[in-house]
Amino acid sequence: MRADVREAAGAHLEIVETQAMARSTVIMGRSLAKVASAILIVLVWWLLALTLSPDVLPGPLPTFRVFWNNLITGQLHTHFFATMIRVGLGFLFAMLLGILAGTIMGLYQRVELVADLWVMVALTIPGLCYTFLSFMWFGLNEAAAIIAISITVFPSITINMWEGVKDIDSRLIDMSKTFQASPLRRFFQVIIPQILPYILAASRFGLGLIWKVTVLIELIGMGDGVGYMLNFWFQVYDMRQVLAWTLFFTIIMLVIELGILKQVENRIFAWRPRIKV
Amino acid sequence: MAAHIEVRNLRKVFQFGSSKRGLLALSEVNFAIKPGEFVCILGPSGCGKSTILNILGGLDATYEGEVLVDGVSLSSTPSQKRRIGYIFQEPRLLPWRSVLRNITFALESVGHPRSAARETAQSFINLVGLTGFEHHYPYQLSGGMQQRTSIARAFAVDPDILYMDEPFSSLDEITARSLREELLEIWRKTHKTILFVTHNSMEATFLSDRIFLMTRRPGRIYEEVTVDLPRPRALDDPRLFALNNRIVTNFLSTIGELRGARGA
Repeated sequence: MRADVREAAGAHLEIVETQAMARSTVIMGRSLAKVASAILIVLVWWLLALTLSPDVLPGPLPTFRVFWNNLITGQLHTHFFATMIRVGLGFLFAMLLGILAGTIMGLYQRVELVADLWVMVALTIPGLCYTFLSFMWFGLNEAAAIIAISITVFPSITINMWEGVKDIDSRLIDMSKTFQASPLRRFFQVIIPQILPYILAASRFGLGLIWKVTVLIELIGMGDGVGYMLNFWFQVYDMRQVLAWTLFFTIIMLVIELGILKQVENRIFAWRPRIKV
Repeated sequence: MAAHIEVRNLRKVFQFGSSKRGLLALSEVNFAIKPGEFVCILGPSGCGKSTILNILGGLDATYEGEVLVDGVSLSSTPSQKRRIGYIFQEPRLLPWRSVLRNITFALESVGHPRSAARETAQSFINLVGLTGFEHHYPYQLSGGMQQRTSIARAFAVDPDILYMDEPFSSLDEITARSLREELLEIWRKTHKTILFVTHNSMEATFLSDRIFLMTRRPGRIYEEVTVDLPRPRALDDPRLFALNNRIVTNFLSTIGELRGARGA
């Protein structure tokens, strides 16, 4: 190869490396800013609590004490576990249903033509309505709760998958054909990687939605779970407990979202340029 | 010498939906290419030159007429037995794979074992001057480097024939020039048969042994020009310019006439 080309290539390599370094510094700075903002919020909370009655806003410390007490008496585990099972199963069924429906809609134009309206309808109906219908049809039981959760969440997963399948780049499939790639290789190495980002986006979105629906459903028709406890403490008007449960739930959600899903995404999608928003 | 590729009375009609009337894209295309020859198909956009490549490359199986590779009809050759390299206008790299793994993808697809594929891929990366970029993802490369990767990928599978569909038309002229020279260098070393489609007459004159000139739709090869200039050629060779001018004049008169006759 000619020297000038090699030189240009080397310069490009350097630029890429510098960009990577700059990026990690930026990420460090950003997480520091996030930690600082969390401290600031707790501080504001504490200051506000000083001026307000504990019935309206208890301070961070009393709230944490209640939370700790729930934890060591085992109350937290029982209800958290009940909620997690509903979230997990609801999520699983919603994903299965959504991936199946979305893929079929993306592949077959005739199905899409009819189904797009009904997916929108399904998306528009409030989760509360599905919950009432499910409880009235199937009774106040675990299965009815999981059905309601799945039905509420599956339309948004369907829409994500539908977009993903439509976005498959047929030019890459043509490319793989010119190299005689077998159908199996084409499916796993050309098609699936293209849909994967959509599956992940769908699951993050779905999970965010599922937490909220599950808590609501537990409040309406279940005898345990985080939603049930929230409602219980609301009925007896214990602000510290309501705050403690809310806080606990939010932290668990964040850990799953940022600690697991976000990490998986970063690892799988290292090949994508990061878009600064 | 026996023809490597022979096309007889190739005709292609595009059908839209269920309507009976189609669009005649190619009519009566005939040509033969010798082994190791570098041939360009030159024509205006929309004349069906890419359609010819799609058919020869096995991406489009609905056509009339006959395509023979080494005397055997394309339609009766199982696709696994064909060994071709295809370079598209866009690099068409798998964005989630590094440079190296984009090339091993092609190698493994044609049946190389994994370990051998890595070695072969590396040697072709070196050949196109991408040493040091094996583990970069496509988005980290410039357009020219991406196209280099796609050239390496096409040559790596050790194809019998290389099809190139305007591979340099979306690059800037400086990059395109150096890639053309490198392509000729690799071709000189490997002596593959190359069928190269372009709308750039200077590019065709610089690269090829023979040029097929095509008319607008319905596409047809109306003339064949032999480029009888010694290699390596210099871009500023006056003979190259003279030939290029002749081709352009020829083009303008033929296509201009056709257009005038049609009243379009």
